[in-house]
Parts: sequence; structure tokens; C-alpha cells
Amino acid sequence: MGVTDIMSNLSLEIYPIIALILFLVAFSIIIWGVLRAPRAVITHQSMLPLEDDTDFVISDTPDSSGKKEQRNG
Amino acid sequence: MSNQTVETGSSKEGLEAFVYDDKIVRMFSWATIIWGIVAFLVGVIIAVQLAFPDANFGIEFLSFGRLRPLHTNAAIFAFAGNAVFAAVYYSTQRLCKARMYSDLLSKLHFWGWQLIILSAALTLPLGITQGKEYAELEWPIDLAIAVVWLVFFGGNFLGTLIKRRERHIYVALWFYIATIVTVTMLHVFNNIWIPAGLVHLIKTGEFAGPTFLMKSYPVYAGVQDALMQWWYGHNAVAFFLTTPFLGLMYYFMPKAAERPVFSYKLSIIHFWSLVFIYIWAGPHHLHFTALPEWASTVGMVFSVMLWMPSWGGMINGLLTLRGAWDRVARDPVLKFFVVGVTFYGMSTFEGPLLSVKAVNSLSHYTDWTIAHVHSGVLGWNGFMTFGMLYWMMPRLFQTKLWSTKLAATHFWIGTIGIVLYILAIYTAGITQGLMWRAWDETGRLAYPSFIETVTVLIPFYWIRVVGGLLYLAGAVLALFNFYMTWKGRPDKYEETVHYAAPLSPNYAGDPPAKSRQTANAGFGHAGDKFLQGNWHRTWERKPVRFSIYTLIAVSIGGIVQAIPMFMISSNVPSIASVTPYTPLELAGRDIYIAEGCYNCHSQMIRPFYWEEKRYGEYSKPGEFVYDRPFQWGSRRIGPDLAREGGRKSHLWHYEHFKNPADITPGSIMPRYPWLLEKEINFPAIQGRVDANAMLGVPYGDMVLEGAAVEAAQFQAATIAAELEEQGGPPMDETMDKQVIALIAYMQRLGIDLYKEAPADASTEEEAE
Repeated sequence: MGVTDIMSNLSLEIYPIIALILFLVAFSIIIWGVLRAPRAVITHQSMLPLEDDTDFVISDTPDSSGKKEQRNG
Repeated sequence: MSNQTVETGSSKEGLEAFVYDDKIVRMFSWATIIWGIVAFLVGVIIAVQLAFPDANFGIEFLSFGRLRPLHTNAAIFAFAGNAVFAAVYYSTQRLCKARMYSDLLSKLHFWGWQLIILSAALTLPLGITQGKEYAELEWPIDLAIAVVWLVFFGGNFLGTLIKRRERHIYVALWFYIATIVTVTMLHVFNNIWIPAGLVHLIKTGEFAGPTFLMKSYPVYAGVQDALMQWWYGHNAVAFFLTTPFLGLMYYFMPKAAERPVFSYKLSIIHFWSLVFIYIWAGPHHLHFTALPEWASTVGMVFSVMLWMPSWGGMINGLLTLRGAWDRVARDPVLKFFVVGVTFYGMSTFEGPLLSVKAVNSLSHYTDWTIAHVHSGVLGWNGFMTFGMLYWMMPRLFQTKLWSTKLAATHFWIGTIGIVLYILAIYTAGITQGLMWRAWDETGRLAYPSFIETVTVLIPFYWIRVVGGLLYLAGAVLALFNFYMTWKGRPDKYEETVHYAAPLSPNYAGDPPAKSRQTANAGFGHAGDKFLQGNWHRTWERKPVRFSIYTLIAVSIGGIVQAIPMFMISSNVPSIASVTPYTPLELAGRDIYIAEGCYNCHSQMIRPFYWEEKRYGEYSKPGEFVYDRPFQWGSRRIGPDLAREGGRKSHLWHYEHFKNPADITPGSIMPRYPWLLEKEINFPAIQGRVDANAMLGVPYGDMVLEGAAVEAAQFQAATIAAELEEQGGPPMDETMDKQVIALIAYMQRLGIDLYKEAPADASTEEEAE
């Protein structure tokens, strides 16, 4: 009896259902962990792209006041 | 300039100084726009060929079947790939506050990747292909991809994460991690093969030509190969064209909008649910085929579930522009991003829709899928890339963008181009699908001749050409704009020195949770710590652990689908009358693959009334057990060929390959005059048979030295003689020509089901 025969008799069709349940459990845990995160931590993390010392912020697109913008950030 | 620690006593005491490597970003950015133009140009050429087949000028290297893989590979791996690398190298350094781990690895990555693209551009028009969509490149290039991707790129990226100076790993970097880990897994498992030409050379010392030296056969066959290929194919879209671009979105959209992402919490949920769910969805490409029903249903259910994270991400992206919408009207960068993210939303709405079986029965094999793919690549990937480049190029060149107006012009003609393209092709696809399935009150097909469903599409194909030309023109404008911007660069780029503290090995900013319970119960303490939710923030600081967890998340879907498929024998019932291809048929099959026939013809009849009426009995899994690779195809520009064998004479096929329009007026199939002139590579046939025998195909005595060649020559002479009897050219003019091998293969397709089983055949289950 080979591995294929053993596997064929294991009714593995239930396999995806077990995996789906695993996903739902993991998903619930992640949601829980995310919701528990302190606001200050999340705010700091979300600001990271804006704190990365971009050397040259050059734009000839007018800003909201209609003025040309050129600044170093 | 590499990293350096600032001496104690300086004004930056205890900080490390570093500069970013922007040269590598500039290199990848140039490669993106240049290869993008190549990809779009080839796309326009093959679009013209569909409306006007003679646009290949009778040159084999320009035929549709060979150029289409070049177009798709260039768009995915050259254009989108280089864009991803530019985004990763720019944002990773800044988010990690560290230069890339190794300048050498960066350079090896860049030049290695460009070499791979050049290899693809040379080999695909030569017909050197594995014959699997988006995985066409042959084994030496596969090996190079593995090294460049994992060692040069993955190693450099992970090294940068490890030596970073910012504690938290920002969510964009998670998407990059998922990309690197998953693409590696997909590439490796979908490219397990035997290099037939190399094995033959080593075994016999006989060199059977450079093309054959690069030939390989996958270890998987038929249904299993199909599952593996579409697990790869679908997730190549997911993890090459989606996750890295989401990383790009989460970094560059806040930069362009000058405000943080709308909800960082939503981005975390977006990430985990996307990477877990996406990997399951591949089998929706194989609805109603010989794939088992359970696998197909799993693919559909998870595809529908994918709606939630995809739209969560899209909404998160668009709402990042809250309070900045007025700038969208003036800033081309934001214009590109808004339309790009909107196309992401449209594509990820449409993808699950197409995975629903009832819809898929109409859409599959039609141009609807092509329209879907192009709304994703041109709209989502293309516009996110252009938005990023327009934002980044002036910063990289340390000057202003040469012309904002030109960028806005690019945006508008690109948008009009996409809309023209997809509207025409959606219409073409739905028209095709409805015509194929239409029958009258007597039960006869309303359009029995396939050519009727082809000629009606020609006007839409011309509209597609116009749409493609507009999109290409927009990219050319971008190149010109970037070139002029580059000309305005300073004589010497300024390299700003940045300062940041190294990460302390003992991080006290977010201490481990302590149990708040007073009872002396171990499980309760552990549970309370867990409920405080610090564990995820710990993961976010540990790149190796995070990568491992991501690998686990993406592996589950693959394992759950692959193990039953490979291990449960009832999934692929064998059929006693199905026997291996003869040596000549095998050679003919390899010509079919090399010419890229699978780009236009399917070999899979679905169990629908209208399909059986048009093509014959529906396909069974056991019919494909010797098909390496499987050739089910994914579209029907021409008719299905699964039961083509014996339907037409040799002479019909001969004349049809010579000039299809002579046999079927209105046909858009290209002419194949070279097949009538080029000779069969007989010495290579023994190597082909031997490689298949190594993979378990019962070739018996055919593996004896010279036996396969002798059998092939005999069959070729027989077919050539029959061709002459039917009014074809004298047999001595054709018996060694490639067209004879291809005819042998065509005449074999789908006939085994109706043959007597060999006397010594054993079978687990008879065909139903």
C-alpha cells in the first residue's frame, strides 16, 4: 500500500473546510490584536512615510492656495 | 557612500550617519519606462496581427503565438517588475532609515534582472518556451530568476530590514515581504522539470541543437500540471502585480497626498486577510475543466471572499486623499494614483465575479478575461507606476519635473486609451461567449461555424489597436518628460547625510504584556497576556519571524489544494485506452508548444451542451496523463482542438498551415510557411522520449538507442505518403518537414477515448 492509497482513503475533501476554520480563527485573532493596539502607537506607525527625511520635495504643482510650491523637507 | 558611525562628541552624538542609494532607484526607474514602452509596443503589434494577420510579414519570429508570451512577460516581469524594484529600493531605505544592505547585491540584482529580460526577449521569439502562461521561460532562465530574485533581491531586502534603524516595520514592507516569499515559493514549485536536452547531452554525448538543449518537461502532467500552473498563474497576478503595488500604494500615496494612510489598522487587516485568501483562488481558472469539482469550488469561494480585503485596501487608498481632493484636479501624480486605485477596485470586483461558476461559463476562453487583465495591468499597475515615477523622478534627479502639462496629457490619453481598449474587448468577449452558446429551437447551434464568431469581432480588435496606441503614446510622452527632467539635473547629485540611532537590542518602548490576573492559573495568565494584543506589535519588529509567519499563511492554501490533488488517485482516473504519444507525435506536440498555439486554442471541452455540440465529447481528466505540459489553454481566438484528431485530412491541415485564409475565408490565424520548409530535429526525438520515460511514461523499448528516431521516421514517411495520396506534394518533399510532425500530433488529439485498450493495459477506473 503506497502513500497515494493511504491518502485516497483519508477523505481529504474535508481538508479545505478545516483550513477555512483555521483562517477564520486566525483572522479573528488578528482583528482582536489590531483593535487592541494603542492609538498613539498606530498614529506613530502610520506617520512613518512622512517622517523619512525626503531630501528634495520639489513640485511645480500649485498648492491649495494656488501658489507654486518648492520646499525642502 | 556606506554607513558610518558619527564620532562621540560630535553634534550628532551616538547617531549613525548614512546616505541612501538613489542611483539604483534611478536605474530601475529608467528600466521601467523603457521596458514598459517595449511591452506596450509588442502589445500593439500583436493587437494589429489579430485584426490583420499578415502583419507578421510571414516571419516566424514575429508570429502571434511567439510574440504574445513576449508581450505578457515584458509587461509583467520587465515593466511591472522593474517598477516594483524601483519602489522597493526607494521606500525600503527610507522606511528603514538605512542604506540597502549591499550595493553589490543591488547591482547584481539590477543587471541580473535585465539579463533575464533580454534572455526572454531573445528566446521567446525563437520558440524556446515551456508552454505555460506567464511561466514560459525555459530552465536556464528559471534558474537565473531563482538566484536573482531570492539571493540578490531577497537577501538584500532582508539584510536591510535586519540592519534598519526604525523599530517598526511599516505595512508597505510587509507587502514586499509577502511578495518575495510567495513569488519564490510559486516559482520553485511551478518550475520543477527535467532538462531533456541537457540530460540527452550528458547521457549520449550528442548535441541535438541549441533549442533542444534548453528544452525541459515538467514533472507534473495533465490535471496536476494544470492545478500547479494556475496556482502559480493566479498568484503571480496576486503576488507580483498586487501585493508589491499595494506596498507602493501605502508608501507613495501618503507621500503624494502629504498625509498618512486613512486607517493603519485597516491596512494590517488588509494585509493578513489578503495574503491568506489570495493563494487559494487559483482553481477558479479551471472551472468546468477536468479539474475535480471540490478544488474548483474552493477556488470560487475564496475568490468571492477576496472581495473584502481588496475593497478594504482600495477604500483605504482612496480615503488617504481625504482633505486633498482639491489637489487631484491639479496634480498629475494624484490623478494617476486615484485612477490606478479605482482600477484596482474595479479589477478586484470583477475578478471574484468572473470566478463565480455561472459567470465563468460565459466568460472563460473569451476576450472578457483579456479585458479584465488589461484593466488591471494598464489601469492599476500602469497608472500606479506612472504616478510613482512622476513623483519620484524629480526627486531622484534633484530638479523639477520638466513639464507638468505633459504629464497631465499623458494621464488623459492613457485613460482614454484604457477605456477604449477595455470597452471594445469587454464587448468582444461577451459577444463571443453569447455566440458560442446560442442555439435555435431545434437544438442546433445558432453559429455552427466558429469563423462567424471571429469575423464579428474584427471592428472591436481595431478599436483595441487605437486604445493600445494611445496608451503607448502616453508612455512615450513620459519617457520624453523624464529625459528632459534628467537633462536639468545638477552636475553632481547631492548626497544628503542622514542621522539615526541604531536599534537597541533591548527594546523597552513596548514592554511585554504582564498578566493582570490574580488567580494562580497558568492558562489564565497566558490568555490575559494574549488578549492585551501586544504579540502582533512584537511580530512587526522581527523581520525573520514575520517572513516565516507570512510564508505559513500563504502556504496553507497551496498545501490544502495540492496534497489531495497529488495524493488522491480518484481525482485523475486513468483510462486504459489512453497511451503515450508516439515519438513523432511528441515532437509535433513540442512544435505546437514552440509556436505558442495554446495562446489561441484550448484543448479542453467543458461539459456544456453547446460545447459538446460544437467540439465533441467533454474532456476527461484521464486523457491528459501524458501531457507535459498540459495545453488546456485559456482563450479561444481559434476553436478548441481537444477532439481535432481524425476530423480532417492530412491535406486539409497541410494547406491550412500554409495559408489558413485559403481554407477558411476570414480566418485570422497566421500563416506558417516555415513549418513546410524546416526539418524535423530527428536526433532530438530520442532525447524527448527518454526524458518522458524518466518521468514515468511507459515508453518500453522506445528508450533503446535509436528506437524512437526510427519509429518517428517511419510514421513521418507514412503520413507523408498519405498526404501525397490525398493530393499533397510528393512524400519525399515533406517526410522530414516539421509540418508532418505537427499533423501527426493534430491527428492524435482526443482520439484515445474511442480506441481499444491495449491488451496489457491496466486501469484503475474505466472511462465513464
